[in-house]
Amino acid sequence: MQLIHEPLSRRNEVALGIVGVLGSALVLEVLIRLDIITGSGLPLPSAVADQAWGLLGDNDFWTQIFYTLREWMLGLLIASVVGVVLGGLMGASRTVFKLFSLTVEILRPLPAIAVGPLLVLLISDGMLPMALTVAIACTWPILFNSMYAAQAVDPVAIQTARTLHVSPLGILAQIRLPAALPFMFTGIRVAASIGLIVAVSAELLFGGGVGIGGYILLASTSASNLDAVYAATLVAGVMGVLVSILFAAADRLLFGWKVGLAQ
Amino acid sequence: MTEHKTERSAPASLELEGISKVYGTNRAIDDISAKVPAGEVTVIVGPSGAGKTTLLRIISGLDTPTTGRVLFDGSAIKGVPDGLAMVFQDYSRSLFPWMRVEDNVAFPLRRGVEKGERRRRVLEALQAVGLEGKERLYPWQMSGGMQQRVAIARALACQPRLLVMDEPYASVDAQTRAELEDLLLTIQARLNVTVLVVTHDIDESVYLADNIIVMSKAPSTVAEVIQVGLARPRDQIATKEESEFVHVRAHVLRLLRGESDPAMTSAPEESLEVGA
Amino acid sequence: MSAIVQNKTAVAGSRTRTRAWSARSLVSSLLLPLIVPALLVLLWWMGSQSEVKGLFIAPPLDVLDRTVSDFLSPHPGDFFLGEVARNDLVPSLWRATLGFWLALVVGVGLGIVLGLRPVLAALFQPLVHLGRSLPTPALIGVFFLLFGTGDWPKVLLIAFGVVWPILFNTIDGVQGIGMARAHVAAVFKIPSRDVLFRIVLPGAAPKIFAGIRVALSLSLIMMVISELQKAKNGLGYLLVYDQRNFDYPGFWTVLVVLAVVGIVLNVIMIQIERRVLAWHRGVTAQHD
Repeated sequence: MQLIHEPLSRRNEVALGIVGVLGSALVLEVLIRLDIITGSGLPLPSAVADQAWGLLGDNDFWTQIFYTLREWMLGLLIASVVGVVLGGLMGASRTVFKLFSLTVEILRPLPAIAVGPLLVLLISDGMLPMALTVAIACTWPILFNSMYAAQAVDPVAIQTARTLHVSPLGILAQIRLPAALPFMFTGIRVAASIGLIVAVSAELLFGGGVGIGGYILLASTSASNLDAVYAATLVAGVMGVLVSILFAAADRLLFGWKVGLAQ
Repeated sequence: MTEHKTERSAPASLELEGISKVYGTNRAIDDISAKVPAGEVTVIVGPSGAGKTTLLRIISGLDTPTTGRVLFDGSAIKGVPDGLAMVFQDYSRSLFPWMRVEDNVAFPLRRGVEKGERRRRVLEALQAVGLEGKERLYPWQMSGGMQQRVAIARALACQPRLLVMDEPYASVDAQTRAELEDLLLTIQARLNVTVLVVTHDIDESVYLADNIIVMSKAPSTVAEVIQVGLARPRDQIATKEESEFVHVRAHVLRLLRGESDPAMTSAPEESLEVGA
Repeated sequence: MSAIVQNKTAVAGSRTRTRAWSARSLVSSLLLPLIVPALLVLLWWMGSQSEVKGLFIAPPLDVLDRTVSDFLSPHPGDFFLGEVARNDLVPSLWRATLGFWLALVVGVGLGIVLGLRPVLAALFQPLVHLGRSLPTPALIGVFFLLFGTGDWPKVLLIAFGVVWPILFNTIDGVQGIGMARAHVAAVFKIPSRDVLFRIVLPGAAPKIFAGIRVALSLSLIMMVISELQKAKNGLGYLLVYDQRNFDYPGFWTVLVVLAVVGIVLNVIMIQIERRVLAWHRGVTAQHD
């Protein structure tokens, strides 16, 4: 087994990626059209692409997209505040950690999606119950990353600051916080991707028709409109990839310097 | 140590004929031709960026040259030749942390050597590098110098005819380096294996070598091949006080700096009059 | 000499001080973690008593009582499992397990193949990214249409949802094996089987386990989601059923059981990781 490979250039990687996507779509299209794979309801790439294109030109659909995005951002914001503050405190203080560790361990395995319907009952309709569902799902990666970030600051950096007569507050602001930020942001990145999926799923499962998920729900009711389901799901997936890319770019921009950290 | 009846095969010789390596427009190695005599210690020194590691990869068959060929015992190599073992610079990444020391050393022997003989060779190799009793440890439980000894043991267990080492002591501290240098010389003398070392440490190159191949900077060629006549066995104190050591060392340094050396136009013994 | 005597008394003194100190810290280690959960349970109870929304919040004790009576039984013949446990929890977990293992085999297998060949990885990376970002629950309807009703579409949905983190992390782990290890394998002419099982898999194991941890919790979520429609049994089914019948205590018991199952799986996972990845902790500790 040959483990040594010439690494591919970035250009080749991107080119192959495009070939892979288009090629797979082509292969699937051919297989379905030639009846090699049969079954009603299979996603014919050309039909799905057509539907997706139509959706992107539909203003109503864009309204739903923005609804989902607002819901997602709200949930992510809430989760970021809670996660960073609580996680950061848990990482920085042994006492706070002991206070909350058991609670975190018990609540964390609970799927946010299961709690969602309860929130809908308690808070009735509107964006809030779903945004809160998103927030619940997003909190954990942010919390744990913030906790590790707060724990793991380089002691050499702190000692260096002390020899330079930096005050404790200064150390907090100029050493601990900047060192912890990149890892906290990694948590937010991970949560962002999870959050979008949870947002769409929550709308689908108990949203009653709003957002992208709501659109999928309504489209799922008629068996003849499956291509719309595929198309909307695809759009949601592509949105997720774009969000991922955006956050990765933001990470490089804001925290490119973290590569030099001692960790 | 028990004398064993296994046939110790003869040490291998290498010949590099017109090796060049081009990456796109980057000519890393221009023309390297040299001989690595059997049973001797040959050291390759060069400035950083001279393509030493590239050359080593070509020699060991991991990479192919753009032009030229490598002759192992007179025949051109195709891929990694049999009878070659290698010690890499970064021991933490070349040893496997999920295996104990004994499994690391035995790993290359799993193909072609049966279990009992494997175990015997492992213990023998570990003893040769001074690590008896440590076979059940994990690499990360040991110091850097000890880990590099494990890497050497792994190479020795294969009973190689050519031992290739890529800056093997660059990652350890000076005292450990001195110990490992002496260890290498002891092993080489006892096992009579051909050794090829790449290093950037000039003192080390003179201390270890029978022959020094000095590379120029990229696109590299052979600047000079120096025969080192210092007596064996070498000693970290006595050898380094000898005038030949001082002069060869200075000569290599000048070559690397790119100056010509008027003092070396005469035989080494006569250079006593020059300078210091 | 006197310095040594002084030292000894100092040590003895600090030892008694240490003993008193550790008793205090022992108490704090046991009691402190309980404060917040106790507060939350109190809040829970207060919520259940509230006039406006109390209907939806079943009181804590009722929920505990109901959980025990539904899910536990004194009969060893039933493995001490109560009726609801047998009728719903077991089938749910069974489907989740099947789906998870299917995803594991496919994810790790495919991940190794893709991770070892940069060309293949480059071809399929965008698709893996896309698959990872899909809202899998959106495809429930599709799965039921393609695979009928019954267990099979649920298992496949769970597998489909869970394969992505495993696949993604396996590719990442295999790609991260490093050139140094590749060179060792080449120079020492290690046979393919040993390369796969003794270099690639152990080397990628830390990242693969990270993917498995995500997959495990995700499989519980997908398990619940797959049972919200067209189901005859299961925890997700119970969530819907209890809501429809205004059986809120029942609804809350399902939440409790879900949390318990999640915790148990987590604990098991940590134990397995501790054994399998002991070497990894050793290495990373060395690098600090």
